[in-house]
Amino acid sequence: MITLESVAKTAGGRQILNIALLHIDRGERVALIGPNGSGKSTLLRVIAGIVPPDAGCVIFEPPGTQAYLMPQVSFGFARSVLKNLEIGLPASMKSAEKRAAAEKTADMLALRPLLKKHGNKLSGGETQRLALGRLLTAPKSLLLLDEPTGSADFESTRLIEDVLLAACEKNGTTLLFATHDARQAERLAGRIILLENGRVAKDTPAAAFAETAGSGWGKRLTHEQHPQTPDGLPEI
Amino acid sequence: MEQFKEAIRLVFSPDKELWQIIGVTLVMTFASTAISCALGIFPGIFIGSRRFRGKKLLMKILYTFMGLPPVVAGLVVFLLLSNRGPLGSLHLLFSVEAMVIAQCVLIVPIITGLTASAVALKYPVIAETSKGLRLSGWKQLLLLLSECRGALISVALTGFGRAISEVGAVNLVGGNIRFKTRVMTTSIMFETGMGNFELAIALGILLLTIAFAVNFIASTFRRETDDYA
Repeated sequence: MITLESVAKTAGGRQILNIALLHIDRGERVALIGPNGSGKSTLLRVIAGIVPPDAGCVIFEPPGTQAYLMPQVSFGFARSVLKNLEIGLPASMKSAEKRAAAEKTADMLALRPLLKKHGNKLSGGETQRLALGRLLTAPKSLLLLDEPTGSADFESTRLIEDVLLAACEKNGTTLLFATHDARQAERLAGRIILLENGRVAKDTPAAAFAETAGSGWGKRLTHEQHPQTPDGLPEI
Repeated sequence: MEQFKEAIRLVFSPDKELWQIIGVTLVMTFASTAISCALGIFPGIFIGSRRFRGKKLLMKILYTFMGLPPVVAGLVVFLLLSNRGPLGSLHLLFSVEAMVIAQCVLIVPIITGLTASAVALKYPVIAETSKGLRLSGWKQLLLLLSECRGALISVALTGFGRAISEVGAVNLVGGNIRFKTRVMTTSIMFETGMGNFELAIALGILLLTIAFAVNFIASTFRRETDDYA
């Protein structure tokens, strides 16, 4: 599906991405984790074609595959939520079809009560659901999400995760997302990639990540960010 | 007090000359604002949304021209349009057209500079979102214009405010000719000099009323577009 070969990116004299080889298969769900500045967002932007790499190349199979990105900063356009959801739909679609697709997505993401509200007047979590909804109004083969639940509360986070899993399974979508939440990575992804200093420090199946994390950071993320009591509840 | 009463009487019973002055003022102001917006907004969008070599220098030049003294602009246009000037053959000096040209020299940098600043604030997040949705370049531009419409209305209002209050440049290139190029600001200056304070005060009240009305309408429109759902 996607192959990155010798992809490098430098900014401000610092190398922020240096990927020798990375391959992601069709239909895979891959989580990118790593500390701030490790290159997660840059990697997603490079794959999306928003930022050109200084060296190397990104190969899509089949060629012409469109990568859709939900940026880290979610943005609601100054129009109704309904119109926001219709933005990404092709102009050739009839307005009734667009409306139906937008309303269906709104139902999935609990945005129905907000349909007439302005996109730029939503809360952070609502805006993230809206941003994701814009991508899900039509089936996508490749989704790139940069911290898709960064501003969402517990309920919204679970809703987004459920919707994403359902959409990916239904459409065979390949999913690559950045997150700081190791539990979320384990819930959503089948594979976890740990980035450190722009390099792939660990690439492992999600189930084995905690045990095999080569870097101390990976273990800290899994065991210390969300410590749990013996009954499985988060410690307070 | 008597002068003020007489001014109020003049406001509510304007004579033919006063109507003519108001008419020339409105034509000159709206024409120069519209032309300046047409010439300045798209370069402003380009500058605000693109990275290119020399952008910082260009912005510094723009900011300098935003503060261009009106008499300097008037002098430049006067020299260009005078009989010995390169555009003398057009015979535009001391006409409303010359006044509009001088106004545009003053207003276009303001429109371009303010548009660039407004667009630069919103462009990064709009661009990343639009590109992430793989929207066409045309659709991205329309979205950017739509998102910046409130700011663009404010930019146009700033240009209008400059145009309607301008006196130095229009006096130089228009000549303050009665029944031809006399506008409200040059009339106020002229009538004050002549000691006709009643007419000067009446013109001042009308000028403020027009400026308030235009700002009120534009602000209402801006609020409506912002609340559009």
